[in-house]
Amino acid sequence: MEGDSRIAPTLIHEVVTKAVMDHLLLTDEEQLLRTTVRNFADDVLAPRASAYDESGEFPADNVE
Amino acid sequence: MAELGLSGLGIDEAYGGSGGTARQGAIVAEELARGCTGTSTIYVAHQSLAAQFINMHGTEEHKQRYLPGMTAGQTIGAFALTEPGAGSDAAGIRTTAKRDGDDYVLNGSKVFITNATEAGVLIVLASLDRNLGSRGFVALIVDGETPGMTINAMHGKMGIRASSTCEVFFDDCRVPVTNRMGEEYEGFRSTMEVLNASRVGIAAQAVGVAQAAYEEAVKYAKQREAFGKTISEMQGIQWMIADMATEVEAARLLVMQAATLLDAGKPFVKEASMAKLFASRVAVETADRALQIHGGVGYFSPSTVERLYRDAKITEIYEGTSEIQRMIISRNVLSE
Ligand SMILES: Cc1cc2nc3c(=O)[nH]c(=O)nc-3n(C[C@H](O)[C@H](O)[C@H](O)COP(=O)(O)OP(=O)(O)OC[C@H]3O[C@@H](n4cnc5c(N)ncnc54)[C@H](O)[C@@H]3O)c2cc1C
Repeated sequence: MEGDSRIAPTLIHEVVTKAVMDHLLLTDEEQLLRTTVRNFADDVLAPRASAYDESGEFPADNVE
Repeated sequence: MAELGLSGLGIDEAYGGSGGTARQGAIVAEELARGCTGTSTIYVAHQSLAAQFINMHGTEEHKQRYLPGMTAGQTIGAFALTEPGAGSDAAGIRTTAKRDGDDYVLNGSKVFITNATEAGVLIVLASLDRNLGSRGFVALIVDGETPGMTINAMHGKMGIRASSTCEVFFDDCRVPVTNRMGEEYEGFRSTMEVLNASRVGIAAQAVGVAQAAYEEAVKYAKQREAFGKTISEMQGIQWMIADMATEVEAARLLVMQAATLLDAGKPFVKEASMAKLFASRVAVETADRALQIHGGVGYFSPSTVERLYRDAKITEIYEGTSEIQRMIISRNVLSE
């Protein structure tokens, strides 16, 4: 009994902390994908977004 | 995007794809939208609608012929369902496909078709018999350069301007019968299957727009000063930021729930509609608050929040308007 009540909050705490840290309980693979695409969006897409919005041209260099 | 292998996501590895789950698709759509909404629209139309249609409903020969080029980003795909007289009421399409020997002859017109000017391949939904409504559909693969098909880019779009939106006209356009996906009269069901899954991607796109607007708002609030302190120190601004942070997170959770159900092979249609309805609303409201936090500079281009404010609205319109999502949700709830 005593053991249970001690283990449960620890488990909950671990799960919650992991959820916050990993964001939505993403798997390692998903987290890596998010980081990869996020970097691509920050480095490549975002700097050009305003120019493409202005010109309406097809962003071939984004798609490649 | 192709270099990163993103165009192959969700497509079988046998055809140059990289496999993957709906959760991964949602992650990609969100992050792309966070950087450039128009580019994420191109991605979803190409990948989740056109390539996925072939992946799900094409023959072995279709997959071998089209998917490797599409996953490599060399062939752009478009999905042509909407017509001037049939948007939400998709069963009312009037483009006809008449069998003539080994061909179908297409006549009619499509409107608001993303990617059509760049497309090497278009998925076209046509009617074999208009009297049959949704039961008269056929799904065809039409090559970009097919004689009898004319494509015009439409101008004056409010947002997502990096993506083209086009009219497509068919005037005795001949398409080989071998380009049909699935059986005759079954095209509507295939279309709904594809749209149901890609709705999760559009919901994720909306989360990406909201996330981008929220980040811009936080950044600006910390640097802009008024009344001798940064505006982030004003409670009125802090409350807006708290609401934005909470709503974006809630929208993302709904999207991931729908994607997780889809990956698990469980019913997900109601949850996908809830995610799209909620996330698109959050995109519009978050972009609005982010612009408000910017004050006058937010009202001028090229401020990022000005663009996001215009980009956000489309998520409430395409791939089923918010009214249509409510229809789907209530239909599911009431029949439970
Ligand atoms: C930028 C852009 C890109 C697009 N890309 C594509 C694409 O690639 N391929 C494609 O096939 N289509 C595409 N579309 C079309 C899009 O999916 C349609 O615009 C959308 O489905 C709405 O159809 P509609 O415009 O005909 O509006 P309508 O159906 O005429 O709707 C008008 C209004 O009536 C409401 N309404 C309709 N029926 C009901 C109802 N039963 N109850 C309550 N309210 C209702 C709607 O919600 C809306 O508010 C695109 C549209 C845009 C603007």
